[in-house]
Amino acid sequence: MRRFESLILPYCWLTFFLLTNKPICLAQDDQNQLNNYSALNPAQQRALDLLAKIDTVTKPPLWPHIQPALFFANIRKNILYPAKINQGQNTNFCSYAALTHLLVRYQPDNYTEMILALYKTGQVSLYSKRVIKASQRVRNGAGLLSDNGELNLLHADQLWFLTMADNFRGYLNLFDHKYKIGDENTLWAATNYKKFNRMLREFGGYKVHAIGADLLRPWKKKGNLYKYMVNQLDTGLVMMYINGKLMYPHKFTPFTLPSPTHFVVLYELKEINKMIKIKYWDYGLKTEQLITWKRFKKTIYGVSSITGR
Amino acid sequence: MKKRQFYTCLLIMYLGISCSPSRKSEAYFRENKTAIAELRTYFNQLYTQQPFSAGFTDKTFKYYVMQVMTDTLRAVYNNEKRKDELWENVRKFHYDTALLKKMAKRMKDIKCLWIGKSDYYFGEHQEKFDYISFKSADKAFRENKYYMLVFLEHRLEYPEFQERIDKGTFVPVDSLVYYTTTSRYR
Repeated sequence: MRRFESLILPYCWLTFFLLTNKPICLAQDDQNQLNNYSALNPAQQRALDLLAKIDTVTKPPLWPHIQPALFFANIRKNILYPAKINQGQNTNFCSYAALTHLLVRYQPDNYTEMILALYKTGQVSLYSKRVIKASQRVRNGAGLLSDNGELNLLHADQLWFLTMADNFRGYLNLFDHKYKIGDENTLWAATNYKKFNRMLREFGGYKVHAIGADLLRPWKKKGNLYKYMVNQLDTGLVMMYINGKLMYPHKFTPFTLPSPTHFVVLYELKEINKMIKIKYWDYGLKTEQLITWKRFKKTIYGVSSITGR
Repeated sequence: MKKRQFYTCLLIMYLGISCSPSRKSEAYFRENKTAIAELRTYFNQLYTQQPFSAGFTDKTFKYYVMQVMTDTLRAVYNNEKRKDELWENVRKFHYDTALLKKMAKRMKDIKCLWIGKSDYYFGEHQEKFDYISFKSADKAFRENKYYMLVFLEHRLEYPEFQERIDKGTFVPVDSLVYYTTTSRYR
């Protein structure tokens, strides 16, 4: 056993280091990092340096409704507080927000390069070498979202999420290809599981191991699923595709549609007195709650683990 | 024959008016005005200790949930499976337990499902408000099935807000109190 540990631990650390590009603990809060500004990791420093070199005043010709002041304030906030990234109210942007949260947390410099390229040229080359372009409709719409809570003011997130949704299409988006204002909350912005994993690979260059599907839960017994997820958490980063309504159960409706609705980033999983303590990120905060084994099994439709780059 | 038609029309109009959600919400607000004011006072006092929202998860008002928010964490506790854990955390966040019990009792008395705070953005202006949801329509396939009362902090003069009132999304029931229906009770 000890020999196994001595072999596997260095591998874990190496993988972790390659993923995060920084030798700090995963559980460390963003706030702690910022208590001392010099405690920012090198990737964050590089990201802020990139921002310092760019013209932050001139209005971008390609994005008529993006306000530079709001745009750059938003990028700066994302770099400094990646856990605060929020998909906004009344949107189907959860998959894009979860991916952005990971990207900004572990590769803030790459994120900054990409979003600045998009801002300046209207197109960006991803890690996979694929070039994505912002369509005329998206360029005209970004900066105009008005019924989405704080997202109304987050012009960088508007530009970024809309471009992602416009370029990555899955079968859920078959009947709504052209963006118009208000589509943030329709099937135009929806993400199926395969599309989500494709985005992870193309944006971050991650090696992704996925189990589960859009309508079928992972083919594992609940104990095995739990062990699998704990193991994956020990070696890398884990995202879950869940039925969000089952995380907040109530008895006001006779039934809940058994289908996945939400993407979250898993941070902690622990068994406590025959229940499961789960900690995950979504909507700009980490959520911590206890759920039963039965609910755990019913809620999870997909587990995507990032095992390397 | 004409008389019969007249009475049928009258009955339909009566049913239409008596079942309208805005009438129900207004009646609910008038009946429970004092209790709602007390509930909001308790809630706001407890909220200053640590932001949270709370409510019930069943129609018998037996099981309750508390969602406590810190700067980085949203912690969800309920009494259905782990009552001890809920009270441990109530103590950890130094809530006034007597006040909390009073608030829960008042919510149960007026059959309030959820109480919380939220915000709305009009351009660059953030407007905060309290809300309570108090009834679910027993119609399985209705989209907006929860009735909600929204309590503003001050009068809003934004054209977007007036537009919502004109459209009937927000219906005024009292000074700074509006009624709406939503798909979620929390």
